[in-house]
Amino acid sequence: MMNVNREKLMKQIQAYSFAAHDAMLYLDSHPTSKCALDYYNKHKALAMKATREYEARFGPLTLPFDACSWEWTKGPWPWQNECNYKE
Amino acid sequence: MWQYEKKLQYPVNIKNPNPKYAQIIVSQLGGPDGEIGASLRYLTQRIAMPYSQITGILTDIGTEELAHVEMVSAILYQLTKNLKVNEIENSGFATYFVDHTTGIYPVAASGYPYTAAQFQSKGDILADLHEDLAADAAITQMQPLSKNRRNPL
Repeated sequence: MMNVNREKLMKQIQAYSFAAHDAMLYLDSHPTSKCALDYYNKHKALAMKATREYEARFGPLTLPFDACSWEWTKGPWPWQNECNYKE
Repeated sequence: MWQYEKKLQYPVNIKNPNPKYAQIIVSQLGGPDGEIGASLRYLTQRIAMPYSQITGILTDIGTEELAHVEMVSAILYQLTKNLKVNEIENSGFATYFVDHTTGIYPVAASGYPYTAAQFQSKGDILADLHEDLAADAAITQMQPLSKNRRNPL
Protein backbone atom coordinates (compact mmCIF):
# COMPACT_ATOMS: atom_id res chain seq x y z
CA MET A 1 0.00 0.00 0.00
CA MET A 2 3.06 2.27 -0.14
CA ASN A 3 2.12 3.85 -3.45
CA VAL A 4 -1.52 4.50 -2.65
CA ASN A 5 -2.30 8.07 -3.56
CA ARG A 6 -4.54 10.56 -1.87
CA GLU A 7 -7.39 10.60 -4.37
CA LYS A 8 -7.57 6.81 -4.67
CA LEU A 9 -7.74 6.34 -0.92
CA MET A 10 -10.27 9.15 -0.68
CA LYS A 11 -12.38 7.48 -3.37
CA GLN A 12 -12.35 4.27 -1.34
CA ILE A 13 -13.54 6.11 1.76
CA GLN A 14 -16.22 7.83 -0.30
CA ALA A 15 -17.46 4.54 -1.77
CA TYR A 16 -17.65 2.72 1.59
CA SER A 17 -19.17 5.75 3.30
CA PHE A 18 -21.76 6.14 0.55
CA ALA A 19 -22.81 2.50 0.94
CA ALA A 20 -23.02 2.80 4.73
CA HIS A 21 -24.92 6.06 4.42
CA ASP A 22 -27.50 4.58 2.07
CA ALA A 23 -28.01 1.64 4.41
CA MET A 24 -28.38 4.12 7.28
CA LEU A 25 -31.24 5.89 5.49
CA TYR A 26 -32.91 2.54 4.80
CA LEU A 27 -32.50 1.52 8.46
CA ASP A 28 -34.17 4.73 9.59
CA SER A 29 -37.41 3.38 8.13
CA HIS A 30 -36.62 -0.36 8.41
CA PRO A 31 -34.83 -0.57 11.79
CA THR A 32 -35.34 -4.32 12.25
CA SER A 33 -33.86 -5.44 8.93
CA LYS A 34 -31.05 -7.81 9.85
CA CYS A 35 -29.75 -7.76 6.30
CA ALA A 36 -29.55 -3.94 6.27
CA LEU A 37 -27.86 -3.93 9.69
CA ASP A 38 -25.21 -6.36 8.46
CA TYR A 39 -24.69 -4.32 5.30
CA TYR A 40 -24.40 -1.13 7.35
CA ASN A 41 -21.94 -2.60 9.85
CA LYS A 42 -19.78 -4.11 7.14
CA HIS A 43 -19.46 -0.92 5.12
CA LYS A 44 -19.13 1.34 8.15
CA ALA A 45 -16.18 -0.77 9.32
CA LEU A 46 -14.57 -0.64 5.87
CA ALA A 47 -15.08 3.14 5.74
CA MET A 48 -13.51 3.56 9.17
CA LYS A 49 -10.54 1.37 8.27
CA ALA A 50 -9.89 3.35 5.07
CA THR A 51 -10.37 6.61 6.99
CA ARG A 52 -7.77 5.62 9.60
CA GLU A 53 -5.33 4.76 6.84
CA TYR A 54 -5.95 8.07 5.06
CA GLU A 55 -5.61 10.07 8.26
CA ALA A 56 -2.30 8.42 9.12
CA ARG A 57 -0.90 9.55 5.76
CA PHE A 58 -2.64 12.78 4.88
CA GLY A 59 -4.05 14.32 8.06
CA PRO A 60 -7.38 14.31 9.87
CA LEU A 61 -10.80 14.10 8.17
CA THR A 62 -12.62 14.84 11.42
CA LEU A 63 -11.37 16.60 14.53
CA PRO A 64 -8.61 14.44 16.02
CA PHE A 65 -8.95 12.67 19.38
CA ASP A 66 -5.37 13.07 20.42
CA ALA A 67 -3.51 15.77 18.55
CA CYS A 68 0.21 16.35 19.07
CA SER A 69 0.24 18.95 16.28
CA TRP A 70 -2.61 20.84 14.65
CA GLU A 71 -3.08 19.60 11.06
CA TRP A 72 -6.83 20.29 10.85
CA THR A 73 -6.70 23.54 8.89
CA LYS A 74 -4.15 22.33 6.32
CA GLY A 75 -5.32 21.86 2.73
CA PRO A 76 -6.11 20.65 0.25
CA TRP A 77 -9.82 21.04 0.94
CA PRO A 78 -12.45 18.64 -0.40
CA TRP A 79 -13.61 20.87 -3.27
CA GLN A 80 -10.10 21.20 -4.70
CA ASN A 81 -9.14 18.89 -7.56
CA GLU A 82 -6.19 17.39 -5.65
CA CYS A 83 -8.60 15.64 -3.28
CA ASN A 84 -10.73 14.11 -5.99
CA TYR A 85 -10.33 10.95 -7.99
CA LYS A 86 -9.33 11.25 -11.64
CA GLU A 87 -10.40 8.63 -14.17
CA MET B 1 -24.57 19.98 16.81
CA TRP B 2 -22.76 18.91 13.69
CA GLN B 3 -19.30 17.64 13.04
CA TYR B 4 -17.57 18.38 9.77
CA GLU B 5 -16.01 15.61 7.70
CA LYS B 6 -13.27 16.91 5.47
CA LYS B 7 -14.40 15.04 2.37
CA LEU B 8 -16.98 15.28 -0.39
CA GLN B 9 -19.79 12.75 -0.35
CA TYR B 10 -18.90 11.88 -3.96
CA PRO B 11 -15.80 12.95 -5.90
CA VAL B 12 -15.92 16.07 -8.07
CA ASN B 13 -13.07 16.50 -10.52
CA ILE B 14 -13.85 18.70 -13.49
CA LYS B 15 -11.20 18.92 -16.18
CA ASN B 16 -12.68 21.65 -18.36
CA PRO B 17 -14.00 24.82 -16.72
CA ASN B 18 -17.23 26.06 -18.29
CA PRO B 19 -18.85 29.26 -17.00
CA LYS B 20 -22.02 28.65 -19.01
CA TYR B 21 -22.60 25.39 -17.15
CA ALA B 22 -21.84 27.16 -13.87
CA GLN B 23 -24.59 29.66 -14.54
CA ILE B 24 -27.08 26.82 -14.92
CA ILE B 25 -25.81 24.60 -12.12
CA VAL B 26 -25.80 27.44 -9.58
CA SER B 27 -29.58 26.97 -9.41
CA GLN B 28 -28.98 23.62 -7.74
CA LEU B 29 -27.34 25.59 -4.93
CA GLY B 30 -29.59 28.62 -4.47
CA GLY B 31 -32.58 28.00 -6.72
CA PRO B 32 -36.14 26.98 -5.77
CA ASP B 33 -35.22 23.26 -5.91
CA GLY B 34 -31.67 23.78 -4.70
CA GLU B 35 -29.73 22.06 -1.94
CA ILE B 36 -29.80 24.93 0.56
CA GLY B 37 -33.59 25.00 0.46
CA ALA B 38 -33.67 21.21 0.71
CA SER B 39 -31.43 21.19 3.74
CA LEU B 40 -33.29 23.96 5.56
CA ARG B 41 -36.63 22.36 4.72
CA TYR B 42 -35.78 19.08 6.47
CA LEU B 43 -33.74 20.56 9.30
CA THR B 44 -36.48 23.01 10.28
CA GLN B 45 -39.41 20.61 9.81
CA ARG B 46 -37.80 17.91 11.95
CA ILE B 47 -38.00 19.99 15.13
CA ALA B 48 -41.80 19.94 15.34
CA MET B 49 -42.16 16.40 14.00
CA PRO B 50 -44.16 14.34 16.52
CA TYR B 51 -42.77 10.91 15.52
CA SER B 52 -39.25 10.06 16.55
CA GLN B 53 -38.61 7.90 13.51
CA ILE B 54 -39.54 10.73 11.13
CA THR B 55 -37.48 13.20 13.15
CA GLY B 56 -34.53 10.85 12.67
CA ILE B 57 -35.08 10.52 8.94
CA LEU B 58 -35.41 14.29 8.48
CA THR B 59 -32.26 14.83 10.55
CA ASP B 60 -30.26 12.41 8.40
CA ILE B 61 -31.66 13.68 5.09
CA GLY B 62 -31.24 17.35 6.07
CA THR B 63 -27.67 16.62 7.06
CA GLU B 64 -27.01 14.84 3.77
CA GLU B 65 -28.35 17.86 1.88
CA LEU B 66 -25.60 19.91 3.51
CA ALA B 67 -23.12 17.52 1.91
CA HIS B 68 -24.89 18.19 -1.40
CA VAL B 69 -24.46 21.93 -0.86
CA GLU B 70 -20.74 21.27 -0.59
CA MET B 71 -20.63 19.10 -3.73
CA VAL B 72 -22.54 21.61 -5.85
CA SER B 73 -20.24 24.33 -4.52
CA ALA B 74 -17.25 22.19 -5.56
CA ILE B 75 -18.72 21.83 -9.06
CA LEU B 76 -19.20 25.61 -9.32
CA TYR B 77 -15.70 26.27 -7.99
CA GLN B 78 -14.11 23.93 -10.51
CA LEU B 79 -16.26 25.09 -13.44
CA THR B 80 -15.14 28.69 -12.92
CA LYS B 81 -11.41 28.17 -12.34
CA ASN B 82 -8.83 30.06 -14.42
CA LEU B 83 -11.33 31.74 -16.72
CA LYS B 84 -10.23 34.21 -19.37
CA VAL B 85 -12.00 37.56 -19.74
CA ASN B 86 -13.54 36.63 -23.09
CA GLU B 87 -14.84 33.33 -21.69
CA ILE B 88 -16.67 35.26 -18.97
CA GLU B 89 -18.03 37.84 -21.39
CA ASN B 90 -19.20 35.34 -24.03
CA SER B 91 -20.76 32.77 -21.74
CA GLY B 92 -23.46 34.75 -19.98
CA PHE B 93 -21.57 34.32 -16.72
CA ALA B 94 -20.70 38.03 -16.68
CA THR B 95 -23.93 39.01 -14.89
CA TYR B 96 -22.98 36.74 -11.97
CA PHE B 97 -19.31 37.68 -12.14
CA VAL B 98 -19.94 41.42 -11.80
CA ASP B 99 -21.30 40.95 -8.25
CA HIS B 100 -19.63 37.77 -7.02
CA THR B 101 -16.58 37.21 -9.27
CA THR B 102 -15.92 33.48 -8.82
CA GLY B 103 -17.11 33.40 -5.21
CA ILE B 104 -19.83 30.87 -4.49
CA TYR B 105 -23.10 32.72 -3.87
CA PRO B 106 -26.51 31.01 -3.75
CA VAL B 107 -28.73 32.28 -6.53
CA ALA B 108 -31.21 30.71 -8.93
CA ALA B 109 -30.26 30.44 -12.61
CA SER B 110 -32.29 33.63 -13.13
CA GLY B 111 -29.96 35.46 -10.72
CA TYR B 112 -32.59 35.69 -7.98
CA PRO B 113 -30.88 35.20 -4.59
CA TYR B 114 -31.69 32.20 -2.43
CA THR B 115 -34.85 32.77 -0.41
CA ALA B 116 -36.55 30.69 2.28
CA ALA B 117 -39.83 31.78 0.65
CA GLN B 118 -39.34 28.72 -1.55
CA PHE B 119 -40.19 26.19 1.14
CA GLN B 120 -42.55 25.73 4.04
CA SER B 121 -42.28 24.41 7.58
CA LYS B 122 -45.81 24.17 8.94
CA GLY B 123 -45.54 22.26 12.20
CA ASP B 124 -48.10 19.82 10.83
CA ILE B 125 -46.98 16.32 9.96
CA LEU B 126 -49.16 15.87 6.87
CA ALA B 127 -48.52 19.34 5.48
CA ASP B 128 -44.77 19.00 5.98
CA LEU B 129 -44.45 15.48 4.58
CA HIS B 130 -46.49 16.43 1.53
CA GLU B 131 -44.25 19.45 1.10
CA ASP B 132 -41.28 17.07 1.16
CA LEU B 133 -42.89 14.82 -1.44
CA ALA B 134 -43.52 17.82 -3.70
CA ALA B 135 -39.92 18.93 -3.31
CA ASP B 136 -38.70 15.44 -4.15
CA ALA B 137 -40.93 15.29 -7.22
CA ALA B 138 -39.51 18.62 -8.36
CA ILE B 139 -36.01 17.24 -8.56
CA THR B 140 -37.02 13.99 -10.25
CA GLN B 141 -39.15 15.72 -12.85
CA MET B 142 -38.68 14.99 -16.50
CA GLN B 143 -37.87 18.10 -18.48
CA PRO B 144 -41.05 19.34 -20.24
CA LEU B 145 -39.20 19.45 -23.58
CA SER B 146 -38.34 15.79 -23.44
CA LYS B 147 -40.42 13.26 -25.29
CA ASN B 148 -40.20 11.17 -22.13
CA ARG B 149 -41.87 13.69 -19.85
CA ARG B 150 -43.89 12.27 -17.03
CA ASN B 151 -47.35 11.12 -18.08
CA PRO B 152 -50.50 12.02 -16.17
CA LEU B 153 -51.12 9.47 -13.43
